[in-house]
Parts: sequence; C-alpha cells; structure tokens
Amino acid sequence: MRELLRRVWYVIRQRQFERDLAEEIEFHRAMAQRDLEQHGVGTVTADSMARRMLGNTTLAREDSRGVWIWPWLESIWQDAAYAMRNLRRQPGFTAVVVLVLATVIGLHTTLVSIVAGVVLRPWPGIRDADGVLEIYLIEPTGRAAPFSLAAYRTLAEQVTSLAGVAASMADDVRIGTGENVRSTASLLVSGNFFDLLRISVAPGRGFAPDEDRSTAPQPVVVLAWDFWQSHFGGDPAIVGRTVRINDVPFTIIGVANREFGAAEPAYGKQLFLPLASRTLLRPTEVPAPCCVDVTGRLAPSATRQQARAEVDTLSRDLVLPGDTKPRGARLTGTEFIARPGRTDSVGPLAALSAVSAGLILVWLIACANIGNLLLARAAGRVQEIGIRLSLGASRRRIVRQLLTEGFVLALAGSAIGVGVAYELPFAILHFLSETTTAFPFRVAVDGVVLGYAVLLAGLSAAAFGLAPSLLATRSDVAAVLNERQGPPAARLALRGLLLGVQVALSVVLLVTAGLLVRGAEQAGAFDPGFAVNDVSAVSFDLPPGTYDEAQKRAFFGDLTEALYGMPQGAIDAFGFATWEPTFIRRGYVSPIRLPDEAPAQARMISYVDVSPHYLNVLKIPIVAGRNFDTSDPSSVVVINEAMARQYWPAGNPIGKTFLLGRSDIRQVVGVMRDAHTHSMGTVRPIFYAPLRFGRVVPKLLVRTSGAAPSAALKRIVSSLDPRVRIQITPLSAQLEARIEESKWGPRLAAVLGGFALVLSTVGMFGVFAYAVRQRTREIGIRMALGAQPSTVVRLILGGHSRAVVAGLVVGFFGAIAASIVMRSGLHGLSPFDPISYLGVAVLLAAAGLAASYVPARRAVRVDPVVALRYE
Amino acid sequence: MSNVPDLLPGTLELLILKILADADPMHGYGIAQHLKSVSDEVLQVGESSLYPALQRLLLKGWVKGAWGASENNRRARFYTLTAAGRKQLAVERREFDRLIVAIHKVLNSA
Repeated sequence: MRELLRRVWYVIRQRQFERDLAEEIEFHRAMAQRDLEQHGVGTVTADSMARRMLGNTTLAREDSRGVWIWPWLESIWQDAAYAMRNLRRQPGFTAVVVLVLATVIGLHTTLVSIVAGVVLRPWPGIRDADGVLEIYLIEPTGRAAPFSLAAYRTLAEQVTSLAGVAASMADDVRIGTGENVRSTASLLVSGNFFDLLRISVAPGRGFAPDEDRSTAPQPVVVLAWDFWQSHFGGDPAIVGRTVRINDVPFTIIGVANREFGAAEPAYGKQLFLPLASRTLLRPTEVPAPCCVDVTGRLAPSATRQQARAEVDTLSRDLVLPGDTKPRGARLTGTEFIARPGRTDSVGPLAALSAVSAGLILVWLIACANIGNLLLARAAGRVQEIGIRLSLGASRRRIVRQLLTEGFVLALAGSAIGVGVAYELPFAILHFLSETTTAFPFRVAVDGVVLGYAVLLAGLSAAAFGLAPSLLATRSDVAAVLNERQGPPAARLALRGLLLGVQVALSVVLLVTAGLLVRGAEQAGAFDPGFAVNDVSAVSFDLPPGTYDEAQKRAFFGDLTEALYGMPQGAIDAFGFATWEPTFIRRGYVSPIRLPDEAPAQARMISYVDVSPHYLNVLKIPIVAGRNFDTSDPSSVVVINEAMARQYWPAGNPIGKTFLLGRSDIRQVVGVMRDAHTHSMGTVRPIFYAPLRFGRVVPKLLVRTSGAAPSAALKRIVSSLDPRVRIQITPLSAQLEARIEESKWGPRLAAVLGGFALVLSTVGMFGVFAYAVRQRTREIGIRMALGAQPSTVVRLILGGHSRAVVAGLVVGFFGAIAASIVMRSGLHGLSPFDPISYLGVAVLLAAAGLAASYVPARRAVRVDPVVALRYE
Repeated sequence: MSNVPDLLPGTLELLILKILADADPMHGYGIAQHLKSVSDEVLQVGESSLYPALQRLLLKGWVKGAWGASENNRRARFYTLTAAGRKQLAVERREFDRLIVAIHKVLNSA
C-alpha cells in the first residue's frame, strides 16, 4: 500500500524525480573523473574513461526510471487486457452488467451535473466571482431579510472592507405602445451594479453612477442578451435606439453578456434599469421601494471574515423594512446553495437529497446484483483460478486481476453513463421548465462530473467485486477443484446476503414509490374544501405610474357598481382579495401574538385582505361567529379553524383579540371552516381581514354557473379605463398545475422503483438458476432415488427463499422509516397505507415466483441419467 | 564493469543495505567506492546497475535519500537506512546465508 502511494507520488512529482536522478548520476560521473585525474590521467582521457567505465548514463537513468513506472504500468495493462479478453468471451454477461451500470451511473452523473451546475456554481457572466458576496440582514426571528433602500445607502457609505455594494430589485414594467404593449420582468439596479460586479456589456456599456441619482434620474436601459436577440434580432447598432417603457422613452445604452442572463437575479429579466428611474416609471407611487437585494465585492486586501465582522457590526445600527432592528447580518457567496433557506428541510435541497437517496439505493441494488453475478461467474472459474494459484500466482495478484475486471466493466458502464448524462439534464430541465417557473442555471458535463463518474466506477468495482474476488481465491480452492463439490458455505452465505440486501432495498424503494404515487392520486381526487370549479380569478394590469391611491379606490368602486349592474345570472357571486387561492403558501405573512405574549413569541401567520363576499364566492362556511361586512371597522378578522385550534385550543375565539405586527389590535368575529386555499397538505392557520381599496391592486374572484363571462368583464373594464388589461384564470387551472407539479416526485420514484423491481427480479432469477445448475448432479441422484419434484424444488429454492423473506422483513422496516421521513409529501396519505405495503409484498412475491419458475422447472426436468453421466 | 562478476539477483541491494547499516549517510559514488575497496576491487558496480538498485530500495521504503553537500562541496543525495530497511537486511542476510550454504553443499558433494 505504501509502495503504491510512493509510486503515485512519483507519477505526480515525476519531473522532480528525474532532475534529482540526472544530477545524482552527473555527480557520480564527476567524482569518478576527479579520482581518475588524481591518479594522473589527463583531463580529456579521464573524462572519456570515466564515461566508458561507468557505462552509459542515459541507460542508467532509463533503468532507474523503469524501477518506478514500468513493471507497474505493464502489469496493470496486462490485467486490463486479460480482463477484456475474458469479458469478450462472455458477451451476454458483459452486456447485462455494462447496461445496468450505464443506467445507474448515468442517472447519478446526471444528478451530479445538475447539482454541480445549479447548486455549487457562483453567478455566471461576472468576472472574479469569488469576491462577490450577497448580504442579508437577520430579522429578530432569525430569518434572512433584504435591506431597505435607506439601510443600503447607509451601508454603502460606511463599509470599508468591501470595494462597494450594489443594490437590485425586480420590477414588472410594460414595454411598447398601443396594442403591442406587453408586461416584462426587469431588474432595477444601482448605478455601480455593472462595474462593481464586473459584468461585461457589449455592445455598449453599463450604467454610470451619475445615471442613478434620485435627484436627476436618467431614462437609460441595458438590455438582457436574450431580449436583444428575441426583440431586436441581435441588431449590432442597437445602442442609442429608444424603447418605450411604461410609456416613457428610454435610451438603450448596452446589452449585458449572455452568461449573466443565467445568474439568479438576472434570470428571466429582459431589461436592466437604474433604480432612480423608478420615479420616471411610476411617477405617482411612493418613490422609495420597500426592499433591495444587496451584493458586495470584497476590497482587494480584505477577507470574507473581515467583511463579515464589519458588516455585522454596522448592521446593528440599521433598520429593517418592517421598522425593527436586525439581529446582525449574513454574507454568503453567490452560489445557489449559499442563499439562506436553500438548505431548509422544505427547501429545494431536501427534494434533491431525497432523489439522491433513491439513486443511491438503486446503485446499491445494482452492485449487489452484479456482485451475485460475479460470484456465480467466479464459481465457474474455480478451475482457472485454482490452476493459477497452484502455478504460484499470489492471491493478491489474482484478487487484483479480478478487481481490474470489475473496474473495466464499471468504467465501460461509466463511459456510457456519462454519454447519458451529457443529454439527460437538458431533457429533464427542458421538461421541468415548462411546468415550474424560472430555472436559472446552465448545466454541462465538466471535470467535476467526469471525475465523479470515474470515482463512481471505482466505488462500484470495489462494491460488487471485492467480496466475490476474495471468496474466489480462498485457499481451499484447490480442494474444491479436486472434490467437485458445491461451493463453500461462506460463498452461499454471501450470495444469500447479497440477495437479501437487494430485496430489502427494493422494498424500500417500491413502498416509497407506491406511497408517493398513491399520495399523488389522492391529491388528484383532492377535496380543496371550497368552490374551485366555477370560480375564476381576474387580475388587473393597470397602466403603471398613472394610478394613485384615490384613482385606484375610484376604479375598484366603480367596478364593483358595474358588476352589481350586470344582468341577473351572468355572475353568481364576486369578491375581491389581495391573493386568490394558490394552493401553495404564497401571499402576505405577518407576525402575530396574543396580548399576553412577549414580542419574541410572535409567529408568522398568513393573511389575506378580502371583501366581505369573498368567503361566499368560495363557498367557505362560517362555523362560529359571523362574517364581517362593509359596516365593520378594519380591525375585525375571520380566522380559520386551524388558527382557532392553535391560539384558543380550549375556549371560544369569538371576541378574542391578538396583536398584528407591533401594536395593531385585531378582534376575531368569526371562524371559517378549514379549506385548502394555501396548501394541498395540512391546512395552516390563516386569517381574513377586511379589504380597503386603494393601496394594492386586488384580484377579482367571480363564481359563475358555466364559463366565466370574459367578454362581458373585458367590456366593463375597458368602459371604465381602456388602458387597463385583465387576465382571467380559472382556479381549476391553477389547481391542475399544482397537481401536475406534485406528480414529478412520484413519477421519478415510480421509475426508480420499477428499476429496482427489474434488477431484483433478475437478481433472484440469477441466483435460483445458478443454484439449479450447480446442483444438477445432486438433483439427478435424488430423482434417481425417487425424490418427488416438490421436494427437489423446495430443496433448491429453500435456502435462498429464506434470504428473500428476511430481505422483505428488513425492507418493510426500512420502508416505514423512509415513509415517516417523507410524510409531508404524501398529501395526507398515512405512511402506513396498507395498500402500498400489501401491493409491494404481492409484487415482490410475484417477481420471486416468476424468477424461480424457470429454474424450478429446469430442476424437476433433470434427467437422472443425463445428470449422472455429466462428467 | 568488465570485471564485475554477475551477482545473484538482489545481491547488490543486500550489499547496499549492509554498507548503509554500518556507516553514516553515503552518496551513490561513495557506496560504489566503498564496495570496491572492501571487496579488494572485485566488486565494481557501474551507475547503470547501482542507481536502479537504489531507486528500487527507495521505492520499497528501505532507504531514504536527502540532499546535502559532498566532500568537494557539490550537491549530492545521501542515503540512509530506514527501520524497515534494517529489518529487511536481517531477512535478506538469513536468506543469503541459507543460499550460500546450499550452494556450498552442492559444490562439495561428491
């Protein structure tokens, strides 16, 4: 082992080694020459004599180098060539193993290339990305929060360990004029954004600091590369042209580089605008936006620790957007994984680790499977190995040779697997990006991925090859060779163990898949607890910057009147809300506490501001107290049963009060039945407060007995203001999209489960078939002595069936553990759902029967005469 | 070179180990000189056998090399025996003795 390390060290430091050797030999020659000269020989003669006498220095060097490299390389090459010859001779075996490995390794490499591309890389498209940090403030609750604009400015003035800080915030704008107007995502950035982050802009340039002065906002815009391509056909003379944004002409000054479009803040954004230009875009709205994301770059001499310490100290004097004091600051790299919340138990990484756990299980099953195949094959090679051992080959040498064979197999599988990984991520991402929102990353096979594939090949070779090779070269091989008996007991035990492991892991995967699939089915038949099918949500796109609070209040007041004036039966009911039911947790949350609780005990609770008829539109009944109406003050609320249970578990919540935020007192007037408006799983606490028109643009929800009268609605809206656009979405479409999204996990699990089932069926078949072949002679004798076929079958299958049953039992325990862990993904299905467990038991029993049928038949058809004549 | 008798395989390594066991760190040329003088000029090894042998010993971890200044102030690699090398010397010495005794027996047999 040490020797191997030294050889590896040699390969790494080869140049140094060679230089040392050359110098050493030159020294030797010089010394020899000196000695000869001292004995009175002339310099020239002594030199040539010394050379001749001591032989050719080049030869000496080559021979010395050969000590390190040659025999080693040669023997590895020999092993590999021998392995390849052997594998070629058994094309069936080789094909099966390579195929299994290619699939498993391909899936793994795909996952790793996605992870490496998505999760671990800093933002692309910026130079010296290592020095770029994202900065967050920490709320008293411990959550990371963005900066207010004022806090950002204070930090920018004071910080010294950062070369600068830049701010950015997303905003939707409308570009174009007349009929061609469309809504577009943009990123408002501070004037130093492009320079500080070193984002190359070509053609054109990024913003200059004086283009982002709130006192003199400039109408300038940088285009995203994709937008430049799709909208302007990549016109190289784009700089200097104007584009109308929110009806204000903006001058195009540059195009951000293509890669940057995949950086998280820029993903999906078409335009970059100076923060100060917000007053041009929205002249009638409050000029200061609530929050900005802050990004900094380390000063040349500063370290991350210094920056962290300094910003943390400075942050104590800042104020959070909600007017509270932050508890500190957090600085992270720009990698996806580094963002706070990404590693939470419900974050995207949790899903990722569930997937990789599944993949590792499949990999283990595959290794156990191939291990068993190799065991069977090694038994077939007992003679060959015995001969080699008796000819004096060392056991280590043979084990190494067998391992090399495994590695050659695994490497072949890896090569194909990487080929799979080269294409698969794109297919998957393409698929995903249609159902979910932004997937802001690019993915490719690179050094990391290749290295992983080779590592996995090595691990696989060790996992499936080591035990069989060690067993195959046990010292009693010679005895086996002579006596022609069954394989040693240890080998039988190992085979049973591998079989049991396969079955157990398959059970875990299959039960998990079964539960997830049944959970998704349940979600398909899911009763949301409110009217979905006849309700549509109408969202309003007001011309930005032209509606102030009074105008909004007037618009929605007039709209309400107009809706009441619609003919009888056109609309059954309507109401307004800040958020329509989305079936996932989305919308506003606020800290809530009871009057006798300390501020630190506040919990974040979702709330929706709604008009009084909202609950009626959704047909959510009030179970206690009453709904609020237009005569109520804005301090009353209706809570759901979940909130009532959490805060007033024993008593009656009606008339009770709680504090919203710091000191806003709310009184409960009614309790509504729980409904899955904001989650498909457990209903979380939520409360509904009276909506006042003016501040935000609410959504309209209409219930109709048939299709929503979209033409009539559009007519009403354009009669109020022709510039307002509306979009009508049935709630059922939202629900379907959610259900579709939630089916991804189950689908993947079903694929993995199916894979496990096939692998373990093949594995069982292999073991049974091999058992029959191994004991043909014994069966023949038993048959000749009058044994019943049923006895023979029991004899053959008996030993291994125990392994299968043990695997089943262990697997079911594992499956229970796994399903408890992922309970939240089951949509209310019990982790002990009997149908899933019974189904898997039946499935595996059937697979076992199928796998043993052919071998058993072969066993009972053994012709004693033929069997005994065998050899 | 010409007058060096063919050594049994591995004997040169044994001799090097033995020389290093009894002496201070030595460089390759020193080992060759020492071998020559102790054997009354019978064993003269050339660099094409000496240095591969030294490399083999390095690889096995029986000797280790360190660079230092030679007697005439040139840079040279000095070899010392490691603990493993000392053990190996004892093993090989026993083996060699056994072999010599065996050869003697064969030669002296009638």
